[in-house]
Amino acid sequence: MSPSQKMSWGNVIVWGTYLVVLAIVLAANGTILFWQEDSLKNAFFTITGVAVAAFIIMMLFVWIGASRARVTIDERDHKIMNRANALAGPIAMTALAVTSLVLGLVYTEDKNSVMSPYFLMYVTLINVVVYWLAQAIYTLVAYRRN
Amino acid sequence: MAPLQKRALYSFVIGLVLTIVLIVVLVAQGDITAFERDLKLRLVMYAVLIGVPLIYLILVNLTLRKPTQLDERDRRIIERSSWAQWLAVIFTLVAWTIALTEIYRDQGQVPIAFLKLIFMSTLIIGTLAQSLGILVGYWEMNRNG
Repeated sequence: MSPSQKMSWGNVIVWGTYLVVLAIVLAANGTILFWQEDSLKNAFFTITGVAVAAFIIMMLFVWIGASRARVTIDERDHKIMNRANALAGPIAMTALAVTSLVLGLVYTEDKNSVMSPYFLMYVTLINVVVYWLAQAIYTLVAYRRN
Repeated sequence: MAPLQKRALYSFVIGLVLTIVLIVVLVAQGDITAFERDLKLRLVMYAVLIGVPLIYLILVNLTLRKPTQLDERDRRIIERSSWAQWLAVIFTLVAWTIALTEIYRDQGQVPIAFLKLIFMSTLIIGTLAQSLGILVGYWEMNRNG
């Protein structure tokens, strides 16, 4: 298995689990505006912190493993990574647009003229997570095909 | 100059001029959220928002459809430039988050007008970064041979 594949599996496991856990926690509390309750805000930051830590550890393991095994990245790996990036970009942008739209509607419905700064963090985070997931899923599918 | 490189350069320059015009207009108004009250200003913003991606789409995507105009190297450069686009979008979002959090730290709330501005800026900067990514791709390829 190439380092890109290992990293992609790691990304799918870490960020896929993160999204599922976050969705369950938010659904259980009946809101997506996590910053409105202290307990929910703490839960959100704990889940995000654990996911980021797991991501860093996973990256380190893959990097150390690849360095020890002296794995070289060939033309096919580059091609797959470039295609994965090209595909993940528009998907992440769509996720950004949808998140902004949904949260914007929530605020407009509530007749608010101000929003929380956490909103921006939320939108950025969604963009990053969706990008990594889309990139990882495409990479795994591409390696299976080739 | 390759056809794709030339078109990316035109797209980048025109996009940059439109973006500078928009920034100048917003700064001249004295209040960055003035577009919420002024229809003319909103129209300028929408024109730039639609104009920048449209110019890129016409110059880079629609007029370069013939297989003879693009080779494997060009396609690889386009694919690699997506990475630059995403990075530009992320850095734009992070910059907005830090700037607005710091400016509105005391109030604890940010005017909702910024939501529109953030979304528009990410679209415009994303498109500009894609053109710039293509230009950098050619520059790197020429430098490395």
